[in-house]
Amino acid sequence: MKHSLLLLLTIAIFFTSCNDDFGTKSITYTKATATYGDLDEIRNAPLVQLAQSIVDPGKVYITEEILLIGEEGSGIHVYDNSNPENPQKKIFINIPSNREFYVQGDFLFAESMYDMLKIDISNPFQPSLVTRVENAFASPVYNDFNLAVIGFDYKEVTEEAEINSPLFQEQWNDNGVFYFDFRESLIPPSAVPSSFAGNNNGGIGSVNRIAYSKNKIYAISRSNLLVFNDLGTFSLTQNMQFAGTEMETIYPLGDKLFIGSRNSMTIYDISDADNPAYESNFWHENSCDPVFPESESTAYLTLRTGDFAECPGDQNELTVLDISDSWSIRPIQTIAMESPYGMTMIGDRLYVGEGKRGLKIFDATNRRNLVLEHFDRSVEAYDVIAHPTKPNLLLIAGPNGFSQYNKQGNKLELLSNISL
Amino acid sequence: MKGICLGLVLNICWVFGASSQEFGFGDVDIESAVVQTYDGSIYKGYVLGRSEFELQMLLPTMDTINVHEVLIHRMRSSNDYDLYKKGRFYPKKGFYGSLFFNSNYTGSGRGSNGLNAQLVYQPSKKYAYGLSGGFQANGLNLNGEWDWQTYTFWQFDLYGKYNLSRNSSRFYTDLKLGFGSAGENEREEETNGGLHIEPGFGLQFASKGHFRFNLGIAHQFQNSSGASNVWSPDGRGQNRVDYQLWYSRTVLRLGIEFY
Repeated sequence: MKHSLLLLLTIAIFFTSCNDDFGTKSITYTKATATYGDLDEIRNAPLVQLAQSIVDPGKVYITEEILLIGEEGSGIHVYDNSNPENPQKKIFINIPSNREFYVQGDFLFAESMYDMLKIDISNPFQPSLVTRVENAFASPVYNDFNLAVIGFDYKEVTEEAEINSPLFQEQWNDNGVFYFDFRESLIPPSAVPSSFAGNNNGGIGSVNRIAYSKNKIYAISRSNLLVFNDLGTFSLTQNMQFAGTEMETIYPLGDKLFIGSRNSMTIYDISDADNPAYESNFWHENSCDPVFPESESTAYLTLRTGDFAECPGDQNELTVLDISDSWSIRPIQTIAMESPYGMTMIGDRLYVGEGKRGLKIFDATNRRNLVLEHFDRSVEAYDVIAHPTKPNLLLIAGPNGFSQYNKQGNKLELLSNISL
Repeated sequence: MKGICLGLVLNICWVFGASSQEFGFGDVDIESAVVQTYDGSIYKGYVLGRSEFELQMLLPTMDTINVHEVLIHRMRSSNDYDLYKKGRFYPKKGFYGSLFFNSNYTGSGRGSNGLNAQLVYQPSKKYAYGLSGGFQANGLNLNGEWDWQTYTFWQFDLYGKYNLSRNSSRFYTDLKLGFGSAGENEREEETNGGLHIEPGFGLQFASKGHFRFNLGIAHQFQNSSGASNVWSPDGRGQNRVDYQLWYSRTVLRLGIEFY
């Protein structure tokens, strides 16, 4: 009897077993603290301001007349570039929180936190706001003082906690988790320090988040794909939630949209331009990866990793993809690289920026069998495009600013440099 | 809660320890024995006398028999064994080994499982001591939510055991004290081991052969420290967690002893 009781006691204790680990833990993490602002005041601030100094340059757009240089998070510097060797500061276009813009003819499309703007730059020194699509990217979150979240301050902190306490607590509003929504819905800083803005005059550029095709503006945040109609009234027609994860670049070609994300290249069918339809995916190792579709059958994909937060790892390569059957994308050539960024095709040459490591020029006569022709370590390049009007000129955005080079075969002769 | 767990174990040990005198430990003056002869016969009774060639026994029927030594196949004497009904017994001293499976099943990832073996010397019918070695795998989530990992420790201990009763189903209390060395974990994170303490109690069952079963419960304290990369809730980032902790787990022990 006693034994039975003990057995029962044992089993009872077993099933109500005690797991009470004790101790402490300290978590080191990047704490994001919301910053608030009066959204109406921000939206109503004057568009045109006096010229300012460049502090943190981002996107660049160059023509023979003007030079636009994005100021990360605040707007666009406008230069008179009629004398390319001595561009003159003219004005600053105030676009709070702006990181990406696209130039289509006389209009500039730029995101501004929650909104998408269409700006008339037919007179680039007197731009005017045509349309503001408010809350296109996300609905603002307001605090008790009716101030909206306009950003986050990031700081690495270490906090102590009991060993069994949760490290995270999710705070929800009506639409989702505060920080998560903001992070996923709004356009983040680019993983490429400086690059060329997409435009219809020269190259589209391979590291952009805004693209134009058939009177539609396509924009990607980390997770969402937005479609704006530019025929008639500029308006938002589609906001596809969770169209991808960690999306970084967008490139239209024919009826396809090519989206590069941290772990894949995704193709959307835009034959119905307002309603992109997922078509296929090509998975790859986690990396920063511009994608550049050269034709309906061939695309180039650079994968960049390194000792930095955005894309940690040790995979750096240029991959040639067969996309002739978009349902079955397959790699056909892989070339080891050092630190590849943006790229462009000029004639039969593929130019790939290797960041601070230099610029590689591939013979792409056979589009599916690239041959390294020249590696110029003296030309540091994050992004490269052809000059919009002078085919013998190459425009390069790099760590030292923006440069124009004269092409003589594979030799590049520096014509001018705008140091930043 | 951990106080309750520890108190429970220690209280039970104390209760059984304090009442151990009531179980009447003490040497038996009259030798009894179980004798099995080569023809398969088994005799149980008191040993009245021995000679070089014969054993004289008094059986429960009050008959006295003499068994020639050459006919005796096996004999267990109460001088060397605690003898019980149906031929079950415990050796009073000597070496034995044991193998235990430990488990703490919680239905979540916060469980523990382990396997360990002991080599034990029992100098008297009350005490035993020896060495213990094995491993224990503990599930733990450092973010407190869902990011479970398994941390394994290779444990090497000194082992002590005290028998609380002399019944065929015998209560005992025991203690392991030693060091748990951290094994590699799945994410190859920095993990350090530390002191291992494991008080327990249980019930062992006398048997007729060389194996006997054992059922017990123990509370395991394993010290550890380290650093872990914990995924954030959206699964898109990792944060570093440095920790100092004592695993404090009650485990059910199922084992066999053999000698």
